[in-house]
Amino acid sequence: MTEPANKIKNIVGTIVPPFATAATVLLIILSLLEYFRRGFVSLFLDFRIVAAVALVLWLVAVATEAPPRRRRLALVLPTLALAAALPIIYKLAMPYGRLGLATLVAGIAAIVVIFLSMIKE
Amino acid sequence: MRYLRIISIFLAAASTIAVLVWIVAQNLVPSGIFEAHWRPDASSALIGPVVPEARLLPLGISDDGMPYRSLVEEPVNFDVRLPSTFDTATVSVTVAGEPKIVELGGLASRATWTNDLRPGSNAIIDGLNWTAVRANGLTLYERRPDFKTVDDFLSNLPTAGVAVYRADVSSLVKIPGYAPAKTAQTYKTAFRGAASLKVYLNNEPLDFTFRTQDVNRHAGADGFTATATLNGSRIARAQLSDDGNDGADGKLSGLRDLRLYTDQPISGVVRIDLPAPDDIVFRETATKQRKFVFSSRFYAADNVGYLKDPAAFSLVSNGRRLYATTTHPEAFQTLAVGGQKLAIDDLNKPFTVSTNDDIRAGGLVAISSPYGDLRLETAGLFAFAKDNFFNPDPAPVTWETDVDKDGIDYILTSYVPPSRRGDWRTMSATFDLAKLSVVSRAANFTISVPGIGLQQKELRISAIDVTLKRAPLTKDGLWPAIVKMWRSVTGQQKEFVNSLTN
Repeated sequence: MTEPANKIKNIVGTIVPPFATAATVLLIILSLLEYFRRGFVSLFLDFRIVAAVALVLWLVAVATEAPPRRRRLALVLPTLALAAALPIIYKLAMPYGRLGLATLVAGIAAIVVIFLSMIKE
Repeated sequence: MRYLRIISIFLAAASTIAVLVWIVAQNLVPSGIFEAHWRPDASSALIGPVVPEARLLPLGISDDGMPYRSLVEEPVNFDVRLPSTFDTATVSVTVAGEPKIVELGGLASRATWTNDLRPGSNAIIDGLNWTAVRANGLTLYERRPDFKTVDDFLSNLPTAGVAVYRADVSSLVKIPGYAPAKTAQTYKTAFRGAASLKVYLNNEPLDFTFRTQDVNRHAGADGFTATATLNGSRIARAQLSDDGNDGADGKLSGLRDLRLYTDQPISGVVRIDLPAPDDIVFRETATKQRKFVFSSRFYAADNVGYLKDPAAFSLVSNGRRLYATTTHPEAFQTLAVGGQKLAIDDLNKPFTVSTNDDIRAGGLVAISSPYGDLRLETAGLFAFAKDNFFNPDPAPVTWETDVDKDGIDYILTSYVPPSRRGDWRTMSATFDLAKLSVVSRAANFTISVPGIGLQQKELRISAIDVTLKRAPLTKDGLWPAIVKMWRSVTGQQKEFVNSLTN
């Protein structure tokens, strides 16, 4: 990789993980709020957007962060978070139809596949 | 790179907090006014969907470019989800089409599926070329200008030619020559489930004893509280607890008496509400009151497991159209309605017959069933017998009313004609949310178009707009509101008082 490309990768790898972590934490908090009081969040915010943002950020983080330990850590947290939030996300995705559900399942499956491939590394 | 990481962490944390603060603020609604909108071509997180879908036609576009869904059967319902506690909900529905009467309702009780219906659009009244006088939320339409004010009309209520539409004048009713009975009479016409009665009293105590039985055909406890009200104030209440069997095994309980009475004599028209679940059968009604009627519906019970003989019954009604439905094939029968026969030979299907001719000729129509087990509904009243009948409300305006043929000279109504724009009219009604059933942060509303199926008309719905209101949040009220929200979030507090009873 060329020097400028490496530099960009390092900058992105520095900026994105905190946002990815924040998006995951937000997803967990929103899921819990929704779990306690249905409609508290979903009346105003589409969960698919939050889940998609978290997923994309983590994929970018995984793609840019160099050290394998951090990459593994980067995968463990969102996988666990999404797994924990899955029942609520499933419940919320249902009204949005099969497409919303399929997007979520595909995203989670993608993370699990990458996670497993990282473990093998 | 270290500073970049710190700045990133700070911004990420700030974004998360900002989203959470925004969500809380959205739920708190500091202004106290919250608007939600539904359009046929866009889904809304706060309103709808409008159900049942089978009563609506697919999306259409009108000549003026307005998307709409057409309603072809009624009623249809929709939920309005509430982000926090509000006092009132103003529901506005924009419609076009030919049905004569459109009404808006708020679901007041999920146990009895009772709606608080308000006038929306009434083509019969809109088409009148009569003089109108208004006062205190009421409008009097007169064929001839006989009364200068509404009060003048109410003080000298004519004995004939009066119709009402969503206006209550029962407190003014006087029955000439009425004298209270000296002994109680027992009526053995059995009915089941929720019922609402109106009783005429003239300086006599209210005293009704209902002999009840729990038939345990549906799972769940079957207790309820009966209430009697006079001019909106409760004067008596009586509670019937469950029989201890909340299963659906069909085991009949013993007979238990529910007595609703007052110690003091009363004069006026008393309303009795029996919000009983369908498992409660009222086998007998004993009362000294001579004049009492059932409002709009009468669920005739069966005798299965109780008596060998079928629960044949007869009633009288002043309704101009009768609907009869059964849920059991054993109850397929031919109902005698005046001089007509109404065959009921399908399940869960409302069979209907017009009784207009009988009502125009004699004021009442006789109904006779050889078996019972029927849900009867009408825009009018039922009574066990002609002697019990009295009319607390002058004739209601229904979609079948013909003011000329029916000899109507006055219509008293709370109806306010909707605003119009081209073919579209926007009707509105404001509901007190404390009086509606709010469950899981949602209230339910109804669009009712009586007789739309029989008229074979369509009602186009192009917009539903809901405005929720309460007092705006003040500095002092902010912290209590956050505490209340937290208690609501953690399930320690119900958002609406009525949620406790529904």
